[in-house]
Amino acid sequence: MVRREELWVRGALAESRSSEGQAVTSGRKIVARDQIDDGELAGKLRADCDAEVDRLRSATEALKGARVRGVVTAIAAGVESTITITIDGVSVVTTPEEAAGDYDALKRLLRPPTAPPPTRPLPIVWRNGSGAVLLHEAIGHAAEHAHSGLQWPPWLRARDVARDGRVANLIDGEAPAALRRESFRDVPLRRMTSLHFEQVRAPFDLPPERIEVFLVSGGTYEPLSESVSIDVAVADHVSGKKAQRILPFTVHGLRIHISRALRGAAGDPIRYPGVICSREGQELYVASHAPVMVTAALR
Amino acid sequence: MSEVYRKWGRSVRREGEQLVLVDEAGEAIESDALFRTRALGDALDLRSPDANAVDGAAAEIESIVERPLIIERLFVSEGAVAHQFGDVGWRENTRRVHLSIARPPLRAIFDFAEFRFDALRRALPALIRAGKERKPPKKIRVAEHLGAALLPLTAIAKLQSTAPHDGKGQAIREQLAEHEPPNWFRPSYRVRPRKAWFHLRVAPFGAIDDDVPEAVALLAPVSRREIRVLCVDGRGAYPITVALRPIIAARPAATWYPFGAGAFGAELML
Repeated sequence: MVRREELWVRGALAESRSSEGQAVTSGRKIVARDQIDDGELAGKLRADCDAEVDRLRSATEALKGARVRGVVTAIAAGVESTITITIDGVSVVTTPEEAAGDYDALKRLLRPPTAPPPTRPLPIVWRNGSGAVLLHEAIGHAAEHAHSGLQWPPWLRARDVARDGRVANLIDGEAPAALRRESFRDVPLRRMTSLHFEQVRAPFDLPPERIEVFLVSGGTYEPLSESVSIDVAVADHVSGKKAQRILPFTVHGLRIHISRALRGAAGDPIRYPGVICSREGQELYVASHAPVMVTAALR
Repeated sequence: MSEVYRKWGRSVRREGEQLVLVDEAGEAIESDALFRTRALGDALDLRSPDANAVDGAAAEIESIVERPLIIERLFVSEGAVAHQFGDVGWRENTRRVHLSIARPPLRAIFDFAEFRFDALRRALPALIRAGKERKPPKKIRVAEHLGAALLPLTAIAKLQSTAPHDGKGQAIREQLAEHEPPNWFRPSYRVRPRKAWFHLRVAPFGAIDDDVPEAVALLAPVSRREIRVLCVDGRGAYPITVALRPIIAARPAATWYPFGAGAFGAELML
């Protein structure tokens, strides 16, 4: 594994990290060190990584108004690069291909909140693919923990696709296929890679008064209680034709309550700009897609 | 002007069932605006950590944790490290244990810097018999390993203890921990060093009433506002959430714990 990471703050390089190493597993023992025995492979990984860093820099050099963190990891199976763009404390996670568009979209979404979140719980419309984060926690992590299946709406499909194309049907209780690790020092864990939530002939009624979620800043799944928390960063309170930007808030719910709260969905899956998933201290990018979804009120 | 820090490390850790041996070296170069790190690809003659001791400590923990308790997370490690900052070089050996023991929906978490598990032996029987959440008692004392976790966050008089080197090779001197810390903490070569108080210890004051209920385990990481703990009151055991009230008595202990840049055990009464 060869990895390069750079942090750019308002157009200036603030931090730069590079590392490389290998891990050899034998039974229950993993021997990891910061040198790669296969010199030819090491050279290729470095070259691939450096080329991708160049591409990442080109894709982000115009984003002067943001804090931009780029991470490129090259392993024998390929190169992965992620870019985290932060403006005013709100982040999206993207790729070199999507960085400019996601930066513009983030700027368009950011405007100062004018109201607190409504005091009474309201239905939530999860726009911009953000429903993928809710279901990442409630379905994806539950599958990683081999928690028992629930009765999800019959119109919902949930798949995790590993880099090698293996697919896990998460609704059927299949665990993600891939074992992933953040660095050569880490133990590989069964983790999600690319989540695709889809709807097939789902109902869809837009409640006249609702919260519309556009971006989330974090989510957690508590495996002991099977509860989910979602920290909402950008959302509107919509009542009829009036929409007010509201302050960040947190949605809590047991997994079973979330399964019962799903009311409907519409359209094709939308790529959500960014989920960096942290488990056992290992942060990994998980691609996430979901249609516009509606849930009943969640507290 | 740039500051150059280098670190060489060998470690063995048990993470769940797996035994992970890591050998690496890295360099951090910091100028005013830019922090850069890279792998050195360089070997140094370092003591090999004792894999048998690590495995033995993990086995001891596994023998203490009885059903219906579940080991949710087990990290046991030993490391040998050499540091160099400018012309100053120093070495250290470390041991760390991080545990999460569950009896759903409760989870007790423990952090130690030694392979001694007396606190675990005391707390786990209480976790097995823990009942429902109760209101916190009027007074509560916290066991020394919880007090160590609280020390960096509490506004009581505490002292930084002497040690030979901080993250920039400077001596750490004993002084009252107030205002801006003078020393630099560098938990890894890959992160920017930050100012921190080292090896905090509490000055004794007041009298701890050994008859009041005792918190024997953390049930969630400490925060500046409250702690969620497992409380033992005679034969009873139950979870409580306590707002961080003024500390009315403190008794220092000799064991060092890996919270922040280090804290010694402290029995506290709140």
